[in-house]
Amino acid sequence: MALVLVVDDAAFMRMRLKNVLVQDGHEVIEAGNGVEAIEMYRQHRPDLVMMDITMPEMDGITALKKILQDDPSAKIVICSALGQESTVIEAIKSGAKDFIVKPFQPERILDAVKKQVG
Amino acid sequence: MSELVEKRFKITEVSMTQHEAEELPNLLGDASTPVCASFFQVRGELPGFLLLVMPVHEVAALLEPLVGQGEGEMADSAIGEIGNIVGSAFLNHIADHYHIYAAPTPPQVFRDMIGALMGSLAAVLVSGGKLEVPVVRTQLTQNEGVLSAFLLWIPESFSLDELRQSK
Repeated sequence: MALVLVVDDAAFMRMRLKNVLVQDGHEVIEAGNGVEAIEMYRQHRPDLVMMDITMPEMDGITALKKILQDDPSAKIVICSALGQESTVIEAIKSGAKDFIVKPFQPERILDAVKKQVG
Repeated sequence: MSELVEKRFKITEVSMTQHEAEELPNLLGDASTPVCASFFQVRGELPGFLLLVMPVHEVAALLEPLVGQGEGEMADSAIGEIGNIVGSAFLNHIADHYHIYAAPTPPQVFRDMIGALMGSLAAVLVSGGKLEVPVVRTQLTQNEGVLSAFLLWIPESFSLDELRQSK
């Protein structure tokens, strides 16, 4: 089972993601923006990061780039409502392993986790 | 929206009209109606404003199955996220169609009378020199007719004619 860092400014969405992941046996830690995500990643070195894009303080794409600068082996999946073509391409080019467009089905989340961490 | 709240919604009205800013407080009917609203600025190549507006007396029934309560911090977070998902889906469609980039800011959630909310927005528009604005209005209705929601998009940099010509 994996340690997953869930990054989303919406407490409601963190709760939904956490419920899905915990019910599947994973451990979850949370951050509310990109700045917190970088700090949490450095402290805990999670197996996977589920990252929103639109957040205050620092957006998810910027945070993704900074985490990958620190740890090129970091596994980061974007989970965002902002699913327009240019954004998906930018995220994948920046190093995201997958892109899930909200609203998500729980199975889609668990499939992404399984693919990345087994 | 239907997927998130596990209730089916249908689009019952889409309109694109031009309004003077001072008309905005009465755009959705009785200005004294209490509403919950997710409010976003739109960045990128389509700057403007986006709002998802839902009447307060109807929204509790939507939120209670999701977060166990109709009010409070988690309820407001859910309202913001519902607005984010509905508003982003709208912008995604436009952005992909016209090959541009348009993204919302993180949501701000308000509970106020619709007239006060729209009046504040009108004041922002007027202070920016926008005395007349196009408004794209989409009405979403739950199949049982329990809840109506309005998604309002007020672009800053397009005139109504330009929008219509670009379709």
